[in-house]
Amino acid sequence: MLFNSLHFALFLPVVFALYWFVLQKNLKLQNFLLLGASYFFYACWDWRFLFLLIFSTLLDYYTGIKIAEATKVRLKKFWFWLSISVNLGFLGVFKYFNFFSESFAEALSNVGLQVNPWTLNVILPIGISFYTFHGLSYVIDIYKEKIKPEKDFIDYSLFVSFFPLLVAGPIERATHLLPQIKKKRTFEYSRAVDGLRQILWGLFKKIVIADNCAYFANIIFDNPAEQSGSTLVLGALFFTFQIYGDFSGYSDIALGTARLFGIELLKNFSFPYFSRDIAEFWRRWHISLSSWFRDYVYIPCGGSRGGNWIKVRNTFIIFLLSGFWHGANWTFITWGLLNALYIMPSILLNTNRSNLDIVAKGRLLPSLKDFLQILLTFSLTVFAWIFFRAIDLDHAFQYIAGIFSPSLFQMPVLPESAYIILLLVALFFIVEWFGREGNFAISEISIFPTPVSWSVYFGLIVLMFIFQGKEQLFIYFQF
Amino acid sequence: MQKFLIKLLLFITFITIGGEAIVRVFQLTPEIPHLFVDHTGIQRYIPGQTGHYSKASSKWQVNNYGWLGIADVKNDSIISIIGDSFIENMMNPISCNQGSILKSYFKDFGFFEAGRSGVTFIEAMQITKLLDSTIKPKMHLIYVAENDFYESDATYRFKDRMQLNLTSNTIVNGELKAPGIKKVLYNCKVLYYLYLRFPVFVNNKNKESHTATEVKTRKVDVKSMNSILEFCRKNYELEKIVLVLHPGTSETVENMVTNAGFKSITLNTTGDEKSWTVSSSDGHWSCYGHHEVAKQIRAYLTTHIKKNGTKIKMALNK
Repeated sequence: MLFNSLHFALFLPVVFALYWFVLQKNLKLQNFLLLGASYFFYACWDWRFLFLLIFSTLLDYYTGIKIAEATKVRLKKFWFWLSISVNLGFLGVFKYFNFFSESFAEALSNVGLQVNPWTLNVILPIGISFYTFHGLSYVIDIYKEKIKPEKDFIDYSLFVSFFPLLVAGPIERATHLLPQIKKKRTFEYSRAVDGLRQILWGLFKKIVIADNCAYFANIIFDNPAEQSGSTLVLGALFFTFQIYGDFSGYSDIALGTARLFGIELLKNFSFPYFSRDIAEFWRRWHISLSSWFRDYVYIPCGGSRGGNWIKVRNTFIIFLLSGFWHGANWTFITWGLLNALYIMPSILLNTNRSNLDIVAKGRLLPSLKDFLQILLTFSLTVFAWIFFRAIDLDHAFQYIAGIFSPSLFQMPVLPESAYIILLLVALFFIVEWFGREGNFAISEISIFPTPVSWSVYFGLIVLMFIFQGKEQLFIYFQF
Repeated sequence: MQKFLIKLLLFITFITIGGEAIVRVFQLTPEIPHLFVDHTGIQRYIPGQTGHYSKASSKWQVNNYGWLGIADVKNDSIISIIGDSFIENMMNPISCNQGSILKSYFKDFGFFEAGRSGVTFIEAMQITKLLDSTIKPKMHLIYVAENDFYESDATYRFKDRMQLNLTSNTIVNGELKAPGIKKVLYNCKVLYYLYLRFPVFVNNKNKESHTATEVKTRKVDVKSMNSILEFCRKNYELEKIVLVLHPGTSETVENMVTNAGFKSITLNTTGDEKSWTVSSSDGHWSCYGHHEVAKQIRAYLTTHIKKNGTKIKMALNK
């Protein structure tokens, strides 16, 4: 069930109505309803993998209790590592087995040994990377005695499986979501309206920006050899906005939907393309994943304590893992390592936390320095996305070689409709700029009189009607 | 909560009204003419309707006979052009219709088009009978793909299509598909837009055969095809009929129709580097494709028709 489908448009009001009108007095039943709805939502993709989700939930629920109950350190460690290894084992089998098998066979063939890689013909269970990380953070937090285990199985299952975040995040923390699940929720008008507004903005990003950019990005990336350098640059730009519109659009819909049920999810995007350096970019892009790696990998590995070597090592580790998390492909790993290289100067010079505030706060336009920094960071990001989008490394290098060719200075060859989409992207970028101090780009629209705000909503819907791109799956579903 | 629901309802109403206006102004949905089933069981369009197909550059108009396209019946020597959506050709201007192009080659003849999306081979044969009783063409050109033979067999039932029951050797008429819903959707365009955007209610089997953008070829069942052709041999005037077989038609089918007594032209795209289709996702012929098709028919007609005043004599041998 896609967020941008009629199925979801029917599913959401039904769950909403039951939640607030029928079961509003009973928190347990409300949670039970949300869990049932979440499992139904997941089963719409592939009911067989529902069992995997339930098994993973049961495992972490049980081991969480056992870790807390264990009086001996060895027993505590046993339950902890059991959970970690089974969770990562599932992820390894479903997501990485073929990659390792094929890479191993390729490595052997490079030294003259020919072997046929043994691969598994399995499809990746949707959302496995996300719910596994939910479970891992929960178990790690219990092991480190940051939280107590959740005794109520329904509440815990809902934490893992809450449908807005189930298939593509944000990656939640037990410390943030579980207390909300356990607390009685009351309907708040302003919160619900804000949720709908965020859903609308997310749909706009997905349907108008991402799906239309995807069309042109696919054409250009599919045949890089036939494109001029300038067209390839536009192709990379199209993908840059496709992935942003797609993933942040999904996150907006997820956050907005959760808000309709009185639940606040972690913010996942905060205008990343206005970042002034790569460190800032990573504080604003896929925030829930970046902070997960920071809290559960970077800091336990020593973080930035212990000199430059430790900092460099730990930075490379988290970016390598981040790339690998996205998929079992050398392109993702290269993308991760490239970002590690990008961030290195600010790590070594200790300037990685110099841009914590919102750019040009309270001002209409950025300073020249800010502008140049944004431009440089954006360009580096666009370049890195080429690896992310490419099918393999050869494809990526062919694409890059195509850019840096004499045809870079030719007029791009694209249909007229591509320029209309670029114009829309530019308008979208302007709206994002003016809305950058809010929670999401149009979150502050409510301060205007109703006719103005309604006109904006109507305008967005009209654009969705007119510029609806060919429906594409959300990119992050594959991770 | 009450305030929220009232505002939400108001907003939905506002969006529905505004959306209806937008869909109409920007012509975001195709306008499709309404059908009726005539006394012979053939589905035709209600005469007098006009509209605009969303991807086309010009309007369509239903003529007095209940078909879209050319109806040049002034001439004594009429050649009918019968087929499915390829002949209906809503996606191109009328100057790209087979009737218009062939008319430019054969000025002494009148061309009459009877095309409708979903016409099966057996329905096309029935249309020849209908036209023989009304405008009396001298020749029928029936444009068919292998699919149209397959879809003529009622063993594989498509409720909205005319088919042949091979057990009883009787024609099974097609039924109008969801006429009530269609009426609502065609009038409330915002609903129709949403229906097209989110086609969740479309039955997969029907979706496959109705999709205008895809033309799938199914393997012909030799036994059922022979039965269909035998039925045609007994019930229709084959000497007036020329089958125009779509490119890619198998040799088996070509041989079978010839053996059954049909004259046929097999269209050939070999050697043409330019695609005949509207786009990679729409297998219908573009204006260029229609011109290429007409060229091949022109070659056939020039060779095989001997004109004697206004009377057409067709060569008896191929």
